[in-house]
Amino acid sequence: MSKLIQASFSLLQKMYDPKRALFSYKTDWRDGKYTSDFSYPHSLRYTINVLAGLQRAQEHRHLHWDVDGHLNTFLRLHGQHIANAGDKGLLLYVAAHGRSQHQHPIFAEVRDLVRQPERLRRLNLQEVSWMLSGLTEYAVTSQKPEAVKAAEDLFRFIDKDFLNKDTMLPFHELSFWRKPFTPFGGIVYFLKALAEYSAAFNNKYAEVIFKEGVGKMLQFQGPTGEWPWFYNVFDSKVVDWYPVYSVHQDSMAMLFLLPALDLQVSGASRAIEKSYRWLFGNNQLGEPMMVTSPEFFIYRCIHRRGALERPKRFGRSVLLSLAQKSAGLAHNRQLEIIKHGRSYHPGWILYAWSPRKDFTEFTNLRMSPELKMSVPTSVPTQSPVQSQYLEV
Amino acid sequence: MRIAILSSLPWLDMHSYKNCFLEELVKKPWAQRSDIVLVYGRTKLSDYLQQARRFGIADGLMKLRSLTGARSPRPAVSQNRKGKRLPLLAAELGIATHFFDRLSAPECLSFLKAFRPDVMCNLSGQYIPSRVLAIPRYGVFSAHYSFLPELRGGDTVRWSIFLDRPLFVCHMALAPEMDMGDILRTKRVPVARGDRLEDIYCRCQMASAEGHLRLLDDLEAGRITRIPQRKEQGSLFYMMGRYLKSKVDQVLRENRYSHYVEADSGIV
Repeated sequence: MSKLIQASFSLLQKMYDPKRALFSYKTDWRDGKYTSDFSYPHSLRYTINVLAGLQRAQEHRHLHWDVDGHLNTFLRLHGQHIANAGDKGLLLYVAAHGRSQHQHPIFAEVRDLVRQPERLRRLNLQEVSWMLSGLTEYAVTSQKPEAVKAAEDLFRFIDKDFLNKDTMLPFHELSFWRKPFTPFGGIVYFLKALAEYSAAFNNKYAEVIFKEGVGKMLQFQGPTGEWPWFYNVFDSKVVDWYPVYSVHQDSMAMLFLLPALDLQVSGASRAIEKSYRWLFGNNQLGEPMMVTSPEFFIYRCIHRRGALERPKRFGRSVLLSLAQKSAGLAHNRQLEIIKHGRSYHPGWILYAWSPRKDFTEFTNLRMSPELKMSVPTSVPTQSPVQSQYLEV
Repeated sequence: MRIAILSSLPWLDMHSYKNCFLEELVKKPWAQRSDIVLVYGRTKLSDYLQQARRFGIADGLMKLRSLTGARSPRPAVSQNRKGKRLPLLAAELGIATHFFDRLSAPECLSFLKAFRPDVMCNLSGQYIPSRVLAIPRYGVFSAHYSFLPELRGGDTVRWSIFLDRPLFVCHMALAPEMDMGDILRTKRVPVARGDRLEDIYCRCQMASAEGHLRLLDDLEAGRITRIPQRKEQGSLFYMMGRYLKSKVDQVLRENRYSHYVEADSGIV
């Protein structure tokens, strides 16, 4: 097991509440203590995220974690509160991948939504992408023709309505006001779903769209490997660089860069290196975002100081778009680091990096010579599920 | 043999390959003019507007330029694209023409059923409803401008160039699922250095007309071979946007396509 996987799993255990069967929405690490917030609905989404990561890590024999048992508990306690279509899509992915008994009713719900174009059109890119990931996984594991049909229908819908083929950037939403701008996160999940769909059905069209989409994104990577946050889909420009999130740098970008590397997309390898090196101080502020001593922790992002971040960003984006200009990097004094963490972050690390044996300078955290991790040696006593390390 | 020829958008229907097809068809010894009918679907103004939106302004202008025979900066195959409007030519040749809003309209279906065609030749470039597919005895034959079963869907000439695959025109007997019909004929189409997209389209169209005529000959002689497709043998491709189109244009402009055919290659 790599140090990165080991440390991320260790961190996740500190973000977990076994009584609630939830991973945190937000965790602070101050004065050697972890404080977590388990608010709905984010903790639901993040728990599903983390389950996907744990499942992947377990599959690659990095750790033992009863994902199916945890999924049962999670759905018993919280299932009725999962209303978001994207969350259901990701849940379907986890349930189908783990051959859980819950996969069939979840599939029925997601498929019913695919049959309602008007409802689909009200969803955002992340939601439809997660639905496609779930349907693809279910189609592969179940081999049911209706599952294949549902995945094909949703893929066609996304390709036709959500992808701007003039720029190869996807729309975040289809509403008039929101349509011009899309965030990095949505693009990641869109590309991830394309990669999965093309691999599952050997669909060469989806593969081309994926590769071209990745090629497009590589053009946007910043001078120190940062991934800009906000893009204009119509004129293919960055309209705001900030916040630059650690989770994008070390794991979410990998959700499309690692499959792209496997498909021999030119420039993917270099982009991966630049992306994760950003965490080790190779960033605009020259500050490490991943600390390994005395405890492993990853800070959330570098963002612009000040209040009303979202409205300001939207206003700035509109003005830049009207002027047909790209955003520039802000001055260092305008920026600060947000130091809390989110559980989905180590979750995506497990998901992205568990199958990999390359990029060992990162996975073995060789860029952090001060590494001194505290590794749990026993299962949390209150945990409703069993977890322990496998020696690999 | 009773033949229904399907087409669309009659006011724009002046492609020379369709003219050639019709003129050659009536010369066939087995063809009787009274047994041939030209059937139009998509005849309303809204259909023309929809078509314009589908292909975009640039492609629409290119099409219009080739149809009106506008002078090109350099000689091109496409300069010969303009033909007579097909309904007019059909009238001159003594072939009856019928116009319907939709091929799936009840009156169109009734007409086709009453005509009892042995085969239909689809020159419409449009989706043919399954109720129409079920009518002719030997099916609806249609040309597809790329290699089947590998490359299905739309914009396939561009996709062939983008994916750097040799260009083919394949004829198939249409099936309800898009481009999944039995393959009847496969013919390589030459692409020469310096060709523009419109030149390549023009060659595909001529190969389409020639293929239809050969297939009808084969059908008459009872020597049609059908090769079924399996879904997993290929992928469905959709219309390109400006981003990929510009890449295709660049490949052609810079002569970077790997499957150029030299004049003495024997592929014509």
